[in-house]
Amino acid sequence: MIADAVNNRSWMRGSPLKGVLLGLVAELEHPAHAYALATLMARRLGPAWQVDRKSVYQMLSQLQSANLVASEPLQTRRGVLEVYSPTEHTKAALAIWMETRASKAPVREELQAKIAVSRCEDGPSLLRGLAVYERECFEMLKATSDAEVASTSWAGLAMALARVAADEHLQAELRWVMAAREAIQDFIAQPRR
Amino acid sequence: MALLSFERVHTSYQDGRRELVVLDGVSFEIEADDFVGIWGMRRSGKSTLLRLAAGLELAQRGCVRFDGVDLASISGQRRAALLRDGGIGLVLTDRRPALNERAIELVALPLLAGGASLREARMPALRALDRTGALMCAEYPVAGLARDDLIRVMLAQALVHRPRLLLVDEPAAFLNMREAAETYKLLRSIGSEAGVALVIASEELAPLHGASRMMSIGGGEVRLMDREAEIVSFPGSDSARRGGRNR
Repeated sequence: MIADAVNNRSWMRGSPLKGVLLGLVAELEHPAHAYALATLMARRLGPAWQVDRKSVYQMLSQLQSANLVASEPLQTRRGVLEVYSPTEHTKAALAIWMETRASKAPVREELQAKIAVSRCEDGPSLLRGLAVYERECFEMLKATSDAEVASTSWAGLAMALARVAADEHLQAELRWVMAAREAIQDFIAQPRR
Repeated sequence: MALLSFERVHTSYQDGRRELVVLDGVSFEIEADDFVGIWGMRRSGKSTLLRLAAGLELAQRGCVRFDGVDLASISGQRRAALLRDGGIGLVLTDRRPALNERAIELVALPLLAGGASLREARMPALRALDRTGALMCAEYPVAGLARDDLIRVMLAQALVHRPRLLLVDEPAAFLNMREAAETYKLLRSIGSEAGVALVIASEELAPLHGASRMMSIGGGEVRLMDREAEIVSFPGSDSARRGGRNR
């Protein structure tokens, strides 16, 4: 039974956020409710992941079905809340997830898809789209502004590395925006017969 | 009144047979106490923009004002004085200091150039080094300093005359992750101080965390990333028609 719960890797299908959630549950000292776990997850990963709090409930339910997370009702002043804690299999399953090869997600930006099939007359709307996209990248950057990351602990180092990954990703996006804008502007501006 | 303003500033360079337009009618304002991050790719014009803001270069067209004064309307001596008498601090990290003075002498230079004696300049220089966490470097020749310490010393030199505007170019250059994180922390703390506006120009995004306003630069344009700023439409707007970089 124990081996089944640990070796059954079907829970790993889909979002890697399930692994993150499992990691957070594994280090809980006290049971925590889903909202607290979602907040912890957003803090640990940074805004680049855009954690949807509703999806955290679904992921917890899937992990619970795999017997990797336990839940129990807790009476609070605001009513009964479901709180979550690790099971005896959580740490072993987490260790297996850590060793599993990380897959590279494909690039699926909608704007890139639109550009791929655009026509010359779409240039103006693409430029507006690029301007909005650029601003959104900077908004995302600003959203990480306040968090101080200490690299004196492992958790601090892990957060700092996640932050660097998010910065590098945003930077690549901004470079692409800049290059795409210049190329489209130049193409539209050049005289044609 | 804005502390620094660019009004339709145009600057270009000759690049072989082509004219490379760096700033094409750029306008923006920076207020006292602002912390502004400017992001742009290599050769996008970040350093030129900072040099124009510091009065080291003059705009070919348009106007750069510091504290309401058109920098082109005053003498070179007065512009140089802005860099040592509480006006503007400038940190260009792309080169090491030319002279191999001790750090304290390098930091004291703006005060010495302004007429202070070595004795008068010593205490403010030590205070500036302390502010940037480089006090222990005071007696060491700058040629032997580690890159992160050197940047702290350069920041101290820029801060020693208590400028109202501090301009920093590429603070991330050549630093490892830990050194960079410490440098950015220092910059953020300077940026949060009252009485000094901070402008950081960088090819990296990490130094810009904490900035209250963001701009991007490229293709001759500077774009404000404030949420409420109007998004430039194309074609039809002036900036869009200017668009090209190489002419």
